[in-house]
Amino acid sequence: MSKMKWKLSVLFVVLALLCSLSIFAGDRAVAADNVLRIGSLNPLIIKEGLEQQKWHGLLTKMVNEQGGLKVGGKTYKIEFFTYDVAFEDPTKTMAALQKAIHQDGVKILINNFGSVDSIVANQADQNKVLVLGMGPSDEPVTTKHQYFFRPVGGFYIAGTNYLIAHDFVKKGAKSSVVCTIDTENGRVTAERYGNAEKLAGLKVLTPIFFSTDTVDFGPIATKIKSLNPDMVDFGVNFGPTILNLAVALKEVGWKGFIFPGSILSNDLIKNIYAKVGDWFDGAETLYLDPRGIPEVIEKPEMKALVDRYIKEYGDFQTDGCYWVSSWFVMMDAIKATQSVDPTVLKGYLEKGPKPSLGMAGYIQLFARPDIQQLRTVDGMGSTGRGVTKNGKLEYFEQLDVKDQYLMTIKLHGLVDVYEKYWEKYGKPKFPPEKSTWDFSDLKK
Amino acid sequence: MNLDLFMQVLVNGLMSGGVYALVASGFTLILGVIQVFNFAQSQFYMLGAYVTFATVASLGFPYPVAIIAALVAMFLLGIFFHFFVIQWTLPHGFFHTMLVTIAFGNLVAQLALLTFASKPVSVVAVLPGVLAVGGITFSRAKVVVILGAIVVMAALYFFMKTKTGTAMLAAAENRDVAGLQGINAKRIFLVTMGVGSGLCGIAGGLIVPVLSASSNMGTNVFVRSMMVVMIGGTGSMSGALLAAFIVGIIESFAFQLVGQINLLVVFLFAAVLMYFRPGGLLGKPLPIPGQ
Repeated sequence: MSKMKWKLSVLFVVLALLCSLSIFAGDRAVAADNVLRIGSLNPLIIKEGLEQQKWHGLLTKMVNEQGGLKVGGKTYKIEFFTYDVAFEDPTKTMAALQKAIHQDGVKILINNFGSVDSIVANQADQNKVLVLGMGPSDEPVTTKHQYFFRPVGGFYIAGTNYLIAHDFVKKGAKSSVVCTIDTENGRVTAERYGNAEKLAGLKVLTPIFFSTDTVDFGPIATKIKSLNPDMVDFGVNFGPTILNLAVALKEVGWKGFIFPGSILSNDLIKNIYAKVGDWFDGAETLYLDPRGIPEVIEKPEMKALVDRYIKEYGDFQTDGCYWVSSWFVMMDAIKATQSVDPTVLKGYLEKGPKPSLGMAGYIQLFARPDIQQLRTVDGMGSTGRGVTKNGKLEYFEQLDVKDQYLMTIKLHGLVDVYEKYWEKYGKPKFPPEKSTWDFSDLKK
Repeated sequence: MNLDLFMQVLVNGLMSGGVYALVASGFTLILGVIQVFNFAQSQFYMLGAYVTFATVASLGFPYPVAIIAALVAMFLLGIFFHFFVIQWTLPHGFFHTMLVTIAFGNLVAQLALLTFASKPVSVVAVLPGVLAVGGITFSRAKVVVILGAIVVMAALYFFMKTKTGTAMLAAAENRDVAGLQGINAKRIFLVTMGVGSGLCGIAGGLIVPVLSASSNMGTNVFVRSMMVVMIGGTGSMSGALLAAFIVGIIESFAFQLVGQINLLVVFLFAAVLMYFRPGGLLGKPLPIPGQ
């Protein structure tokens, strides 16, 4: 045989051996018991994803240090798996799910950020894996799916956008434009945020979309300037994008009201101010630092979490706090049912569980009668609201669960639909927070 | 569109064009002399940006020194890449070498992603702020990029007139005859790869005060640089320079009109141009080695 043929034969044999080793990978679901395997699909290309990974590691460690999760007379050690899904990449989402479910034996997926939720929901149903996810698209929470829950969703958050836009209208804003990444989530968010801004009294201009790999925001900023909006809504954007867009907008000479999206960490604010100075004063967004949210930090268990983070990792970073909210929902469900079985947990969650306290506030699940979803699968978290001033984001009020819920119903014109639902199933019981709205406000 | 916006769009286009000119010139040089289709070319641009950032932020050197550091680092990396990888794949043919450059480019991009993904990294511009001329505002940092690119291209022009530069042109023209003239092809290839990579490093260094460096910035520039090479004509540096600014300007104005499908407008322009001038503006048709 010629030398080349020998080389090819050896290569083929080596490849075949490597592939055959995968047979022994097996299904860890049949391996040792008393281990609860939890997974999360995170975008490890952005800081939020990396912070989620750190928090998951820390929370898991703290439970295991106590001897494990004591449930139903058994004690479970938690194994946590993080899967990198880049950002809204269907191939990576599917690959991650295959690994999680079939190789690692994951039974619960939480805090998925940047995954393609429709794919996740399908796989969850097929494999009876409980998902406590997030994201703006409604498809996963329709009646088509059984195992997908969305404690931190994009529907009931409309009240937040409305309030921020309303503030800007009071200060003189007349028009707005959403500028966001061109993905499924980006487009849904642009529509939702646009609707909230319209209802607040703004003229909403045609949104501007850009691809996720955009690095030069000069042309985008120039386009925004040509439209001359009073408010720019950064939609679904993250660290480097928010920074670059802010810098580009300042450089083209645009000045106005800014909603820089829902993720503005202390580090990012510092970076932005370093580049644009007090041009960034007056931007309003969610305040997600638990240390500054009274209803959170006053709770000893939350203070303990913050202290432990600092002990393990040094400087406290806020980028991941809100995005691990489903951990607390999951833990409360496990304690309430004394079970780690996804089907049992699903049964508990879909019947209106008590609100859970996370690091940015309370999280609660609700039904969606507007899409004929009578199970409580969709929710939102209470968050702080902050405004940028002198290089910092200052907390000025809590956007509580009840206000967001009621405002969203009114903003979407769904009062009649929800009233019929409440007549049959009763009104939800909200967490113990200060609210400004009540059910009577829906008729005003 | 008023004059202020027009000028801003033009400056955006010229800035992009400056970057494309440097990356594409490096690519053209390597393709012309070594006959390697270097898919990793734009990753040197990305690495140059990070080297510049690291030199300023971590080592505390001034920005001009950081640019030189980026040039030197990428020059050396290019030589390393050629010495340890490319020259061993050359005898196996064009496509073999091309595949290796794709693999190297991917490896570099992934390593950068793992190392730098979490933080936006940029440096404060040498000339921050805006320049206001008659009510028209320009970003000073962008003007620096444009002027920097022109200066580097001018330096490259004069470099190609030196003994080494002439030797590179001779090797590009006919390697065998150049060898007969006493030109050491191996040494010339090393220098060519170094210069080609160094040009990308400078481009990355120039752009980092304007854009935050990111691990995907190389991939973003790659397609555009290839368009520039095709439109300018392979083997033509002046063609690459001209085409770079044309592509940058078309892309910039097209974005204002059609949004993020602006690259499609560039593709259409290229397709029409190639129909009438298959060799591009100033060059010859792309050679397929072996044919």
